[in-house]
Amino acid sequence: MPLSTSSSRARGRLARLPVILAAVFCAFVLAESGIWNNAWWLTFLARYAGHDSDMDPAWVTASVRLLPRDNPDPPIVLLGSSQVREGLDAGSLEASLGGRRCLNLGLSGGSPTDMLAVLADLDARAPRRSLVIGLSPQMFDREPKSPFVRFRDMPMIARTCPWGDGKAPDMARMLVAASFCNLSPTLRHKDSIVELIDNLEGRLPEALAFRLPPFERFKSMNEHFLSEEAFMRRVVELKADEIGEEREWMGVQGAAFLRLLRAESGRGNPVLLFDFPMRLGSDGIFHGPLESFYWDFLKEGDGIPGVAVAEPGAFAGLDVRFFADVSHMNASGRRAMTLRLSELLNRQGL
Amino acid sequence: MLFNTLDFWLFFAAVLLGCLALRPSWRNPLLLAASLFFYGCWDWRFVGLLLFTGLCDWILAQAIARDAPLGRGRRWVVLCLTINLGVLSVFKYFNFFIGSANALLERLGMSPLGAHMEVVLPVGVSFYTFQSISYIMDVYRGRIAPCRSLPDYMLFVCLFPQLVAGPIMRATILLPQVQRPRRIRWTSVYSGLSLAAWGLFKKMVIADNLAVIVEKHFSGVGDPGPGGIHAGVLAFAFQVYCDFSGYSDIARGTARALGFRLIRNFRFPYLAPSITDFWRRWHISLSTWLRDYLYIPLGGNRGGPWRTARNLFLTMLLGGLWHGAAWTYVLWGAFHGLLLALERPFRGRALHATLHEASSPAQKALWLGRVLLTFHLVGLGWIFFRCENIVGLGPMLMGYLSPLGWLGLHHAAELTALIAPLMIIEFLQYRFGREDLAALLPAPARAAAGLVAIYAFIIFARFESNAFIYFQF
Repeated sequence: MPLSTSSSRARGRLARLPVILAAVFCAFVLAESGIWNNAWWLTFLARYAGHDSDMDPAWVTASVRLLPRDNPDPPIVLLGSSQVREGLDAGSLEASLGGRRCLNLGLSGGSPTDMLAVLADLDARAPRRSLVIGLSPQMFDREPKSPFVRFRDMPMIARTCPWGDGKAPDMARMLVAASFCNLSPTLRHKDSIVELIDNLEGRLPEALAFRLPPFERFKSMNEHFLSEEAFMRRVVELKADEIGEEREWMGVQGAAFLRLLRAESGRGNPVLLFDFPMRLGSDGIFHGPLESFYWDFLKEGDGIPGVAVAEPGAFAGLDVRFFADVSHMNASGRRAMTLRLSELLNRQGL
Repeated sequence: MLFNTLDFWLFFAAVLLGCLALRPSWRNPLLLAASLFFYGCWDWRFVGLLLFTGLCDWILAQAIARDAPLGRGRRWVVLCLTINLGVLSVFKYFNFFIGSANALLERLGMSPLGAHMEVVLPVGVSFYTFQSISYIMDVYRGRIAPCRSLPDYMLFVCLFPQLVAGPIMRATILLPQVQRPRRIRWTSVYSGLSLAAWGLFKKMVIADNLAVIVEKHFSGVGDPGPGGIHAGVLAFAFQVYCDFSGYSDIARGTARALGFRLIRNFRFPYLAPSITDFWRRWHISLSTWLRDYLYIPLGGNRGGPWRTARNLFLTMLLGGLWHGAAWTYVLWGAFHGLLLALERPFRGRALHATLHEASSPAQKALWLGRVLLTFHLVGLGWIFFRCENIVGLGPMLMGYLSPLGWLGLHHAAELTALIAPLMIIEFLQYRFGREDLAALLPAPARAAAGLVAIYAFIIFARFESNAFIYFQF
């Protein structure tokens, strides 16, 4: 609220000002810490996160912070985009791997910079972990998201992001916004909280009492798949969308991905990379520099100690009826994909 | 560079730090450069237009001051008004009048004029034109000496907090502040930034969230019945208030932090018990400008009730047209002019009484009844203001006037959640007669209130950089 000036009372207020500002600051820091380490709140978030992309920051925070600190068995962490989120069932995988904890942290529009942020959060709870990363070319041309940029990755992003062609103000804005998100977890989760309020409209009392069933993290809960005609139409649309794309984020995402692999390798954490399958007939959607950049990266990753790339045939030949659309699995596809991954993990001894 | 963007606050921080670091004599050049940069961020081409009209006004003001005692100042005033209103007409009204003429000619079966200009409206042109005109008229009337320093005059016109949407400052108030060395006090910085923060809260938390509801109902997506229309109008009444008063608070706050005092543009307008009182509380810098430079020169209340009514009506009609080049704004102005003219014969102390003057419960109830009636009449006017064209007015007006509108209470929860905090704070400010309510609280309560405000802002503010409604004028 505004305060008036002048007069001796104003001077008196000024004298109290640092105390009030310090009190507000301390209260804010304490509140932030209290809220974002509160088990009830984190459980609530995890339960009602659902699959909306705005809920991703909340899902990651809740999933990671609810991990027990002293877990002797390193968890398996599934990373990637919505293909991973939709295509792999962490619960089934956990069961098929003898109860070893699995976390599916695949994010909508996920990219290597997002993964770096997820791993930074995981450092406190699970410094020892096995990573399974499902990749696709488009992940390497995505703008970093402010809630998923951590302070420690900012210099790398600042060095590699596209500052030219009049984009400097946008880049600066993105980095400043990310800095604010680092300073306040509530700000980082702002979109998640707003989405949660919208999703729970009229059902909040039930949700607060945990009487409302948890929201499903998978978007595709049935066996729906596209007809051949609809699929071909979608492929044509996607190919048209890709024409003229500037591919300006390849530098940032490439650097982020290498940083991730080297960091995990340096810690002795095993990493398994695999090209996440798309429905048969999707070839050629991502063409030109992005496609070659992507495959070069997979090759480069393969050369880093502790990093393995799944054999090309590991996920080949998946039935077209397993795909809800061009790249995302439906329920039966998820079952098939999870089964194949568990077999692969057993073969790799991960 | 909108006030509700990160860019502006980084810019403002740099300017404030620069002013704090520099000697007072260097502050005006820095502020002028910063103001031109700020304006140039919209469109560099219009900086030239701003400088051109500013230079013309500055030169002509010297001529007016020189020749006015000799009785020859009038021609310079006419020239000055021609330049300023000419620029305004070309950029803002040319297409409107040509379009209206063409529509009329087509109806009469005649061929249209065909002239149409592809022009972009220079942001803030209505505001700085009126500010310049007030300066010229005050010089002509001998109320103020012409400014001898061109940079000082340009800073008076261009000072960035008030450049694009007011308050429309009088030279008698702002120019002396520009000309004298200013000390920047920490108390001013703190109180200015607090005021700006409250303005940002009003804009980004209340107005921008109400905008979603308003859009839904005015675009026909929401409940098309009277209840939905009532909800949409109510939401718009508070949206436009929070949007514009939020802007004004940010302007006043940032100016205060830089050592300037801008006038208060809003004074609890929705607690006005009459339309006359509403206009004493709403967009005060414009309503007083219209009173001093249009209504009074037209004759004011001299010349009997009919002439007074005519002058009121014409003033408000032109005031409506000032807002935008569209018939809906003209109708909005005409509606208010009509209300003012109708209210005029019943004017008296009771009509403008404040809550403080009401001593008995019956008087308080009467005051409340008048406030509610005034609010609903103003709300009716907002329909003209908000509708994009005349075609859309009919159903909205019918819906709003329908007694069934009160059945739309199922929309109330959403609206109340957004409006209630504002209403409580504003009512307390009004009741205690001070803007700085927080100063009444003990330090722990202020800290707690600050914490709640921070969380409300983080969670509910919309960071999409929505433009302020009045920027289009």
